Amino acid sequence: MVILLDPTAHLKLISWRSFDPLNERDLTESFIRVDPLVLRSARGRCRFLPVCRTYIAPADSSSSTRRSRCGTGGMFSCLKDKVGEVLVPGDEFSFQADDTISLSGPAKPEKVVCGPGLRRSGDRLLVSKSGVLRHKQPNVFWIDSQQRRYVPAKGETVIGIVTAKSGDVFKVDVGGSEQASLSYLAFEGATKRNRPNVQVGDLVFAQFIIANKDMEPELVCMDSSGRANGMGVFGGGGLLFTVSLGLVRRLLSPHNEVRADLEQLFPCELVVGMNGRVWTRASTVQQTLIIANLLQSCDTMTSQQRQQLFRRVQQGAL
Amino acid sequence: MMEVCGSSNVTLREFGCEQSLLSRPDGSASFVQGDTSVMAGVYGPAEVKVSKEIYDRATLEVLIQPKVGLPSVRERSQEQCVRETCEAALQLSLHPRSSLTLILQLLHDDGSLLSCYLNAACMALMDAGLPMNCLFCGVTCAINKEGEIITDPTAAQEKESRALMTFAIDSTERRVMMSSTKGSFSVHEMQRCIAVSQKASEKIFQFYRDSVRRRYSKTL
Repeated sequence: MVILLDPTAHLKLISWRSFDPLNERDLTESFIRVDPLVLRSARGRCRFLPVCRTYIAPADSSSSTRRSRCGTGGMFSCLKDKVGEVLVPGDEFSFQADDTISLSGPAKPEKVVCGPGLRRSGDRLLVSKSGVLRHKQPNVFWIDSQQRRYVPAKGETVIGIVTAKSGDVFKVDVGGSEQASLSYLAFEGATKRNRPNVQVGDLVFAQFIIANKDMEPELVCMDSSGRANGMGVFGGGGLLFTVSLGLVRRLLSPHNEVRADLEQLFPCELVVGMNGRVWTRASTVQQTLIIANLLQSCDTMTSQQRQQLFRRVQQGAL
Repeated sequence: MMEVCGSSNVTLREFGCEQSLLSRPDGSASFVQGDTSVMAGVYGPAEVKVSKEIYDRATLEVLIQPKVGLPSVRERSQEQCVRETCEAALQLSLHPRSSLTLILQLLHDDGSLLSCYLNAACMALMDAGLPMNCLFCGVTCAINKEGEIITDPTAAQEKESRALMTFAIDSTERRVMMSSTKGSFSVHEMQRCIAVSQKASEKIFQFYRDSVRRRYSKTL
């Protein structure tokens, strides 16, 4: 029989929901906040201390002589070897401290930041989603998977559809398991008197300020300084369609090939929400539809196939 | 410990799989074992009915659709087997107060149906990107009149068999997660069947890995 580990125990320690590969400062902060055990390991151990089973600390005398260190060697190399490979749930990495004695003074505890799809359990690192292992310098690892259903995460910008107006909040459908709420005061220049003009059925581009599994997600349409910063209600025209979350992440990553190819075609506006919704508007309806069809087919094409197709469109084949 | 079965190579019928072949569900897969064929679709984590809401984990619903007619008692019991296996493999507490729906559509039944349901379910859950502790697979063993163990039997072999057992095996420690048995057999025979299933599961897990790798080959 399978023994179910208590997932809440290690979730308190690694918050992979507030993971954002583009914003490293937030990452370190969240890491420090959520993972005090690693930082507290003054014995120079870089392994993750087990939290599920009792850990018997070695006596002081022995710890001073046998300072085990699995540092950059063991921990990183074992993860780094697998970067770019496809992993499936159930795969695990174990960071056993090897018995080498450090002569170069107290070793710094090494940290690994785990993103989506990786989960700590005791002194092991478990994979919980299928996908490609990715790495970002210096120590961030995550699983890049293709999925369709969106799960809200704090700080992500999404395209939502207003479904209801109730009192002082709008209910917004973002494609998650629950509708998000959006206060009418969370728009640029909105006051109690000056309400924003938002109707049921409108599209909004907004950012999550509250998103966790236990609470109703909450959106805002302005940044921390009170500016709209590109967010708010959409204007008329344009087309909304959905693509997979993997493609959205690819579109938003810096120096992306798909986006570069698209720029070659014709001028258009493109709004990409992390929830897999993409809104586009070009000068004519035909061009808008071409862009929508191209992006939707990008999911299942290799880069050569895609470049071939884009070239054909550029030559006026469609 | 279990003894490893005498005949060293376990024979399974040819199996195949295709992931994300449907456009509407969040995850989908079809799984073929010989002539047995099943299609699976997963929806979720989605909004849940208040009556089915569980405050600390997701509600998993498994629906099995037969080829014709409405689901009967047999389908209900298979649903329960699949649901309990999935519940053990999934990390449902990461999506509290939401619903997961797994729909299994029978396309053709030629024996080892429950194991095919399990395999299709696992591939579809993986395709949907739901957090899982481990993978699982289903293996069906039949014991014929001569006492020989046949893995992945056809419908004809199932009919002639004295006992029929289906096990769900997990991918990390090759343990039995679920068992469903029919007919009469001794304890020793059951242990042999488990050992055979564990051996056969390795082939299936390797196949899982290969097909996922093929799926992601375009984005590597």
